[in-house]
Amino acid sequence: MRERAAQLVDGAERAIGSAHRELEAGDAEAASERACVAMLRLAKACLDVDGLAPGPTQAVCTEYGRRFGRMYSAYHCWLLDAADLCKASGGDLNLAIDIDSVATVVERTEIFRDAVIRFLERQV
Amino acid sequence: MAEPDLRLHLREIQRRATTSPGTASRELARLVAAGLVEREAEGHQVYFRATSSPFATIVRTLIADPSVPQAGRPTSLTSVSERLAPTNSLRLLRSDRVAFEPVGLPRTIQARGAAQRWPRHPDPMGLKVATRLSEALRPLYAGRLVGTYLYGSRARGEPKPDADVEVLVVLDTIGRYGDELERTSATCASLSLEFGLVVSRVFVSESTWKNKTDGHLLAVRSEVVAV
Repeated sequence: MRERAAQLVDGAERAIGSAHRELEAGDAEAASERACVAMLRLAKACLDVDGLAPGPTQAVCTEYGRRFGRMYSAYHCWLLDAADLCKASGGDLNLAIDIDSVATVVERTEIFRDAVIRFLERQV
Repeated sequence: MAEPDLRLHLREIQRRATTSPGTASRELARLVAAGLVEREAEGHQVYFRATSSPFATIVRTLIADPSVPQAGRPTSLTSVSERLAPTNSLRLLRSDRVAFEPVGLPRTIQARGAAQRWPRHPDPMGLKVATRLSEALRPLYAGRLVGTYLYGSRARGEPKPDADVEVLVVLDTIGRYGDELERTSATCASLSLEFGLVVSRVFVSESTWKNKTDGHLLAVRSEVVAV
């Protein structure tokens, strides 16, 4: 695994840990934000294989979709869902989001993490 | 208010004021409408800071001045915004009623209040993608769909080239938010791939859309374009 990709996966791992702690504390907004951060870091780790390093959220989502969206459509959907859940619950709209929906996104982030690790290991 | 250079996120203000997010957001919206506080969006985060307007300076002086009797001194977000009533608060409520108008209105009809704020030329790409999403949502939701609106920079006609197409979906009720995300996930992903940009959607219940007076939702109401 390339160094930058490994750093991104580590960062995603930490964000997933924070998301779990926020879930336990009942903070849906913070948990969804951490889950979204984790998803974005994992997507960036995948893009790093092609030497791509998009910055803003929409650029990461667009590039991930372009590169992997047709091959791994479920993960592309989950990435967009995580970003949208974060947008809905975050400072901008501040909508009331049920904690159960956030828990699902966190769970999916963990599945995505495992898939990304397998994908990156195959690239070596 | 006492620290004009300090910029705080909504959650931080809520913690310091020991109030709920909804109350903090509502009071901040009033302060923004009154010109006492300014709102800055940075990515997904929204920050607030006191303005340097003459009125804000007077309020700041009142807060800081120990000679002002406690009973007459605004001490919290709520007390400052309550003191603005009836003038600014009423004005805000009136603009609220105007802003509710886009709910359920046919395409291209916009909130009257919004048209006065900036020249409205919604981004054609944004409208096209939002319309496609709206068409795909109708059979999915049937009678549950109250309205679909384009909002954000593409609705205002000032998008960056890679800006999201932001769509707000008003449903009769929302139970589990994740169910709505799941129901529309494949459609959004497929449109995102087709147009090479991010199609983003948020769901709001009809009652929240009509009654919530939070800062950002208020701003969204004034800029939406029905599709």
